Order: sequence, then structure tokens, then C-alpha cells
Amino acid sequence: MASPGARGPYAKSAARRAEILRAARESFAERGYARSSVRDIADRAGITHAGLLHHFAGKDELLLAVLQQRDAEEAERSQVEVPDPAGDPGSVTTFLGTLLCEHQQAPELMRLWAELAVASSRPEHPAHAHFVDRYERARSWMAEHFRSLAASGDVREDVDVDAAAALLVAVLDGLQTQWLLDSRVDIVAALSQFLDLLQPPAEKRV
Amino acid sequence: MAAAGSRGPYAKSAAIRRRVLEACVDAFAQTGFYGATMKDIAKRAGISYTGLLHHFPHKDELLIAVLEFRSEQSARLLESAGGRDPAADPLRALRGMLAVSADNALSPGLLELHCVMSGEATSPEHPAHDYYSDRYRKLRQFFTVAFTALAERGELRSEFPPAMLATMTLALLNGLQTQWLYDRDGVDLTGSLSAFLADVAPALAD
Repeated sequence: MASPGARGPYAKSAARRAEILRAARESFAERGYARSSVRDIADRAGITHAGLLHHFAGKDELLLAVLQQRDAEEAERSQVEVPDPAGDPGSVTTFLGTLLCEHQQAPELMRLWAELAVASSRPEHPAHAHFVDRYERARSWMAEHFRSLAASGDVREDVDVDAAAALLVAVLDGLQTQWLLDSRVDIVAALSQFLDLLQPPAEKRV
Repeated sequence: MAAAGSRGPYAKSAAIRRRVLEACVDAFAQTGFYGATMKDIAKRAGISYTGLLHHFPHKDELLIAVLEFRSEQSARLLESAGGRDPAADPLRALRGMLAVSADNALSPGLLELHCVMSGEATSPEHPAHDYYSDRYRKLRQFFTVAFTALAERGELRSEFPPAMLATMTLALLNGLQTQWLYDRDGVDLTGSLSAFLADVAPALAD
């Protein structure tokens, strides 16, 4: 089954779609979502405007497809790299620091997320549901992390785990915005110290 | 002078400029800088397109004028709260910042504009990029001076470098603003900021 299919018209269409998505991703990252255009994406993909519209109804649909593709890539990666939030606290801190460093390697993507995260807050934005869900998952992952720390006495007693999770998500977002506006700001150190702030005072630690 | 002026052509012009700026707040906040059109802004302000161009020939100028209007408002409020000198009176300076934050919550349109623009402006070509780089640098400086003064008085709970705490404070505020865009009733910006600051500077709670 796979072999004849791979040479048929379906495979050609799938290859074309993949090429368009690659072009869309590049255009969004380079110009930002608001300034990108279907025409520019078609040019980058080497097809006509009408040809592109045959595969995707418009810019909104392209954005959703790019986000889904990224989700799929992340899901694949997460099986190996994302630590258990209830596991070793050190590995969670290391993971978040590594994540920030990785994002710093691709500033154009970081900018695209900064733009989309705020623009998507409007319910009519095509990526609204995507970002609502993303924030929700990030918050519950971090809340699980803090709950596990609380259980082992590794977080200050006065810390509310759900509030701390929301603050950590906020700090991660806000640090990246600051770095994009001024690359001299050491955001990895600031993140690690923020997490330290939530730890119990030294004399109380076992 | 003032009475005569307020009836002259200058006053009329000032009133129109004000109406235009108010129209921009909504237009930029709702569709972003690139999505907003001069035609739409003219319509929202209830003036003709050519009339708008007479006052503001370029969209860039409009955006900067709105952002400056907002920072002047905040600066005046900080001044009246006696918070302009973080070195001499760090507690009043931090309380002044909290007053500014509480005041921001009273103008959700302006706050939304700020959140959306600070996300978009992470791109170096954005007309507000320099504005936000400069603003964030000044805010970091303000908080750094306040935390340094508190540390010298032994009123800083944390042993972290004041500059790092300043970066953290700003990140927290910025990230919470993004969360507020999604959940305006659920996110308490001033309350969260106040709790964080009181945590690093307990004297603030007195």
C-alpha cells in the first residue's frame, strides 16, 4: 500500500502541502504573522497564488496548520526530553533553562510567539483556541511540579501552587520579551533565581 | 491666555488630536499596528481621511503619540505619589509603581494597547521597537535603584543582585499582562505584583 501511494498524486499533493507549510513558517517567522501574506508564501513555495489556495483556504488556515505541525514536533520531542514535572526538581529547572537557551537560538520564532501570544487573546483570532489550550497545559504542568515540590517540603509553605504556576508562566513569557528588546539581559540566570525565590529558607531545608 | 486659547483654533485642533489618539487606542489594540488602517482610524475618530493626514501624516507617528500619551500619564501619577526618586525613598517608589499599575487597570483599552504593542514591538522593524527597548531599560533601572537602596538599608529579603530582581519584576509584570488579556476578571495584576514586591521587600507590607 505505502509504496504505490508514495508515487501517486496523493504523495505529490502531500509534498506540495509540506513545501507550502515550510514557506509559511519561514514567512511568519521573518515578517511576523500580521505582515506576512499569502502571496509572499506562494512565492517562497514556488507556486502560484491560486495554486496555494487550492491547498489552503487562506492565511488563517496556514497559521493553524503551522501551529499543529509544531505541536506534533513538540509532542514527539517531549517523549524524550520533557522531564516528569513531579520528578527531580533539578531536572525541571535545567529543562526550563535549556528551553530558554534554545529559544534564544531562534529569535525570529521567539518574536513570532511574542506577537501571536498577545494577538491571539482576542476570541476572533484564528489561533485563540490554540493559545488558550497551550497556556492551560503549561500552567497545569508547572502546578504539578510545584505540588510535587510542596509534598517533599521543597517549596516555601506560604506558596500557593496554582498561583506559583501562573507566575512561572508569566516570568518565562516576560523574560523572553525583555531579551528580544535587549539581548544583554541574562534571562537564564533570572529564571533560575526566580525558582530559587520559591524555595524554603536554607535553615528549614533538610 | 488659557481662556482665550481654549476657544481658538488651537484648542479645536487639540481636541481633534485627542479624539484621534483615543480612536487609535482601540484600533491598534484590536487589530495590532499592521492591521489598523488610517482609514479605519479616521472613521473611528469621526473625521475625514484627509483631515487625519493633516494632523498625523504617518501611522508610525500616531502610534508613538499614543504610547507617549500613556507614559506621560504614568509619569504624572508616579510624581504625584512621590515615587520619582527610588534612591532616596525606595518604598514610596515601589508604592508609586503599584499606584500606576492600579491606575492602568482603570483604562483597559490603553492597557490592552500596551500589551499588544510590547509583543509586536519585539520585532526590530516595528515602529515602537526603540520605544519599548528604551522604556524597559528605564524601568529595569528604576527597580534596580529601588532594590539597591533597600538592600543598603537591610530591607531586602533576597540576596539576589538588585538588577536580577528588577529583571524578574518586569518579566512578571509583563507576563501577567499577557495573561490578563486572556482573563480580565481572573488576573489581578496589581495584587500579584504587590504580593511579589512585598515578598522581596517585607517593609512594603507595613
